[in-house]
Amino acid sequence: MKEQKLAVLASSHDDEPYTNLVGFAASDDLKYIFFVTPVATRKYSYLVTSRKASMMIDNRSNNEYDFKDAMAVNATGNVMVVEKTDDFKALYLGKYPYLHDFLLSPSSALMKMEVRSYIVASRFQNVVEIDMA
Amino acid sequence: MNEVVISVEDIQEKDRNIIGSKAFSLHAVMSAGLNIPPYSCITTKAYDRYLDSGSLQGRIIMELSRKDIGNMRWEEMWDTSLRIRNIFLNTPMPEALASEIRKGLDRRFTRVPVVVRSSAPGEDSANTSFAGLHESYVNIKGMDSIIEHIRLVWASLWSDAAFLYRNELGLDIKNSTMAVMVQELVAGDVSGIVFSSDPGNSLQMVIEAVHGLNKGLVDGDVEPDRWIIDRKTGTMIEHVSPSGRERISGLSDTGTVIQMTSEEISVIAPLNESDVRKLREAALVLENRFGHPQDIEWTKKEGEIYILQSRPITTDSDTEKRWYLSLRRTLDNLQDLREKIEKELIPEMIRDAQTLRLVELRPMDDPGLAREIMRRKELYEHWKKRYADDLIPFAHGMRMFGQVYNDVLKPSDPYEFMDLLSGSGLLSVKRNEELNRLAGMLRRDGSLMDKARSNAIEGDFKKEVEFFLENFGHSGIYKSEKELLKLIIELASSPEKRMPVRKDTVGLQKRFISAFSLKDRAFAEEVLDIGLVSYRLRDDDNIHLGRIEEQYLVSLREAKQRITGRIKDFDMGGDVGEEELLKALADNGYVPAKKEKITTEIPPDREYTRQIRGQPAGEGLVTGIARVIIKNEELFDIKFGEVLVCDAIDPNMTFVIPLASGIVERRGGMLIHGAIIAREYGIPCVTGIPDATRMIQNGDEVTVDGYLGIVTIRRKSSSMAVM
Repeated sequence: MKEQKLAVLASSHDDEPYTNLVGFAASDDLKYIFFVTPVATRKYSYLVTSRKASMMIDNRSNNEYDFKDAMAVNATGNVMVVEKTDDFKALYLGKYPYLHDFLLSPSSALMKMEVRSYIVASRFQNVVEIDMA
Repeated sequence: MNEVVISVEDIQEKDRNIIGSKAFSLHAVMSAGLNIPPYSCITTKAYDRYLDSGSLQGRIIMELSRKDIGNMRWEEMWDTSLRIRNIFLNTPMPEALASEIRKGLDRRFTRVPVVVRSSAPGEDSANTSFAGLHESYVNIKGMDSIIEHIRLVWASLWSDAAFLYRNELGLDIKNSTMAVMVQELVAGDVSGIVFSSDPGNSLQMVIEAVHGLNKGLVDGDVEPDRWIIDRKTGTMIEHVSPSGRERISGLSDTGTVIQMTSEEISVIAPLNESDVRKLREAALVLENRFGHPQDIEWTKKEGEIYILQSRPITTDSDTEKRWYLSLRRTLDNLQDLREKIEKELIPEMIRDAQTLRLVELRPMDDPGLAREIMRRKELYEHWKKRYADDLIPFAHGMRMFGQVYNDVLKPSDPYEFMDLLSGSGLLSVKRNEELNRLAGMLRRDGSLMDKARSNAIEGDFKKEVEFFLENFGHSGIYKSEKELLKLIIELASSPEKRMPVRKDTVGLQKRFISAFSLKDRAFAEEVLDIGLVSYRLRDDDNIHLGRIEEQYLVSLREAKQRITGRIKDFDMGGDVGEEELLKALADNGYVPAKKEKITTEIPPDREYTRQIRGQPAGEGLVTGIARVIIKNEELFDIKFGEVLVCDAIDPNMTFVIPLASGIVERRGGMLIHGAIIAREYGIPCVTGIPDATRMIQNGDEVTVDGYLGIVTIRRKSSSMAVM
């Protein structure tokens, strides 16, 4: 969770799923995942309408070994817009110092996912579910 | 051994890649038995460590990802370079690294003034030698200042000139790096350059020399004496004296300054025969040593000649790149240019436009009108060339001010300097205020508004409109009172009056000046003054040029009117070119052919660009309906609150800005007209959107994110536009 730079964020609108790549930072207790989006995007608009979302974070390297070695974590929860407080900014910029301007832009929003559960898949088909509620 | 500092005596072959070409070549000069000023190299390992510390590398990647450099205009390269430079300025060197550099330099350079020079690996190979891509700083004193200037030299790895030559340099974040030379300053009495082989005649050698430092010669501020010598025999073929030797580049407290020479010095040639002979011998030694004709910088102090730099001569055949590099001017050069523009060029432009306006076209016969069209065209072409030669280079004044401002104040926003320049009374803003006043008259008087709507204005208002056209209308865009009225009515019907944003420019300017020490404030004032004038003229000169263009267009319109009148059922429209008009003027029976209509290819419905990143050029976020401008006359169709989408705005078009809620422009850059006027009015603006007028269609909903430089498009009718 700390090393991966990009996650796949899944949102939905009118029963249609919609996915994006986003930079993310998780809180130390893994209860929250933060990401930033410009407010003029679909994902922002979808997430403020329906807060439900899931996020996949994985370490695949696009070769055959992935079937053995790759691990994918799926986080599910509700997303909300939060104020860009110093704590949240420090958490996000600690991982992405170069996204400073992106985070601080008045045209972007800091989003917080409150994680309900994690589903961890490894070794092709081993799946473990972790309840965070 | 210190891994980040290597002194000249310790350089070995294996160090070549970590000390850069310039430093390695100068070591070879020393080995050939010639004098050089002592120096140490800050190796590329120091640059790499600096880049790895903090967020520098990621932030540079973010800047470079904004747009493919290959698709950038020069202005955009300058902007990218400015932003990257600002990142370097605001990223301190890690203390451990700074401490190692201090330790390595300490013995030699604590008490003497130095030159901090770039030395990029591979920069001066026989195939890729391009002078002036990276920075060097002369007369730097004290360790803290040396450390700061090392960072500035590192930043110049990403200079606009380096972007221009990115293919030749192989410029790339993963592989490009920079070494730096810290060299004792030899303040020569005489300095110059030698081309060991004249690029125009390989049998000859060229030596140029000036009194004082080399900087004046290299920057083009001081005209040199020039000697042409037979390479083989050493016979002097010609000595060309300059038009005057009254200027000299000397040392100031920090840096260099152009001074006036004493009368005794100005009558003496900087070199005597013996000096010329010594320089020829040194040049041949170096040519022999490097196996290639050399471009050598040298200086002479107390009778001794020192070689400052030796690199292979290469000739760059790319005239566009050379023209761009020639835009980088010094303060002295800009001050001379300002004098020329304000005292000669602008008065001449105004005079030419007035002279043309007084010429009555109606009484001319057809051959006379044809001659007048050609005369006007030639005059317009002449001024377009003067514009490119003298007026565009003067825009560098804004850039120079911006760089000085950022160096001194290190603001987080690299464009903060623009706030000191705005509100300086642009002609286009004055014109817009006048339009607003006319709109106010309509707003207050309903019956006047009705008359305007039916194109039946009279009395004082008509006089006011005529006066406006007389002053600002001759711009090649307003063709009639009717079009102007349409614009004024739209302004008068708008729910709000948009005025330029007033900033505390005076307070900001004072803050800038007071950031300098007392002795440097005169310099600060001069740079600010050049920035202000450059900002104003960059806009105003287009208005003057537009007035000359308008007179050419007026003559074409007169021809169209005559020809339309004599051919039955012929609708001229705007589609007949000058050549066809001239043929029809010469032959009464000739029916001019219309230009083929250029149809804009509309992207297929199944695929469209929904979001694209350009340059953030005016802060703010707005969503509005797109008004796409393909032809100038479409400017009059804009409705209040629409987003103006265009290829390139010039100041003659910016009368619509008070109606627009946002601007999207294909041409990129922060200092282009669209960006300047957007900032004046506080309107969100994104520039550098490729194919903006093709990707966006009239009626699309467009969000302009002027903070991040993102444009989001929602098709007015598309099954794909879900949102």
